Amino acid sequence: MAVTSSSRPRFLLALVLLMGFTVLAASSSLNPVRDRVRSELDPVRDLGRRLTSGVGIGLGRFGGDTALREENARLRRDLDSARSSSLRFEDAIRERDELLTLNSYSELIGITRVDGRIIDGPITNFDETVEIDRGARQGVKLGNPVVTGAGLLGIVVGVGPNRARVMPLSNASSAVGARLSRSGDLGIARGVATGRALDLDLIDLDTKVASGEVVVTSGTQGSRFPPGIPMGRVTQVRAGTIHQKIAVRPSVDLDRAVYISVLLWEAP
Amino acid sequence: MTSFGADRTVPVARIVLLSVTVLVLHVLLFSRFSLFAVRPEPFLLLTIVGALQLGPSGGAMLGCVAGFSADLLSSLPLGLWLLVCGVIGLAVGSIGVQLTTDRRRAATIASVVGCTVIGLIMYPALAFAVSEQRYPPPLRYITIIVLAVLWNLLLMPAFSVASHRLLSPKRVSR
Repeated sequence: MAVTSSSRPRFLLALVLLMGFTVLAASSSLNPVRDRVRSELDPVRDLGRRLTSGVGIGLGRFGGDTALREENARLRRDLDSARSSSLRFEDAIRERDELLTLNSYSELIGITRVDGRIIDGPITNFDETVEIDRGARQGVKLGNPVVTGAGLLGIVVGVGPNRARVMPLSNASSAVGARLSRSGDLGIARGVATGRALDLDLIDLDTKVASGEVVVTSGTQGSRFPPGIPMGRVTQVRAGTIHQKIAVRPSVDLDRAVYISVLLWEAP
Repeated sequence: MTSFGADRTVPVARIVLLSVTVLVLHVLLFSRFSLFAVRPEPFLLLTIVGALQLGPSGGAMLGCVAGFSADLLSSLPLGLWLLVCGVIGLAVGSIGVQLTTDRRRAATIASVVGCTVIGLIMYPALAFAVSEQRYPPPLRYITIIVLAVLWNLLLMPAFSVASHRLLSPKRVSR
């Protein structure tokens, strides 16, 4: 199969731009195709993971998969759970002080969960999603929140039959409704880059914010997350012109997280 | 002294075959080559070395097909890599027409370095323009560009051989 052509750069450029913008415009409707192709490539990805397992040098956290790594992961999960209990406790103090009868985090008990593991990292340079071993067949849907023992990891942005992609909280395009655990002030926690602190916006200048204060999901109307899930701790507070500039270190360490739970929860 | 990359018949089937092969290889292997969490950009590399062989029309087509393949692996809107690789394929193909075979190696190296940098500048700029995606922090961004160029230079000989064998006019006309 071959097409005869002549060199007409302007015409070709127009054609490339037309094709590109057409695909861009149809991007959301083509997403199922992308998910399908990716799920068809899952066996290849598994094979790659097996081929490179044990070859630790330069392959990053998703390279090796030894018994020691498993044991470390279990220990980290236990540690994360302990940390999470501490974060939830701090939030519960504020809730008690406000005489709320229901601890917001306990609402999660009523939400069906699907437990799984993070099995792979990003596949391209500007992609910051991680892959988990649970997908549509296990009930996972687009937009489901994903948590670890330490708190909120992120949100499901792609679903295959047995896999799903999760965009971490710290991703540059992430924005989550947040609440300060002591004052109860609401703001928006925006990602900067994976592994970096979140920017917490919209907190008034007269609100007292202490370093180390816990930040949880706000769960306000229309929020994509249930209320009270720990997101992280305040690490830096600076006064801005209208609002405070607050840095929040995410409670989930993406480099170490292994076990996750997908909350089968959809925004009301 | 013969022209290098003169515009010619576009081997569509071979372009698709090469792009699919690189897609599979990236998922299988290249995405595992991670240095400071930076991976090669094999679709850009394929576009560049292939466009030097194919000229403007073939380069643009190869860029579009390879770019769409890259889009399939990305989490950002489809069409961004298609646009970037399509434009780069067209540009490199147009330059390739004017080069001579005795400058082939230098031209390939210069194209790989220059166009990988340009591609990695264009892609996040486009993503920023059409989606909520924000730029990576400056240091991270520079690291991505520098290491991706090095990865691509490392993979360049293999890609050049494959592209020469599958896309050179003698092979195509057989």
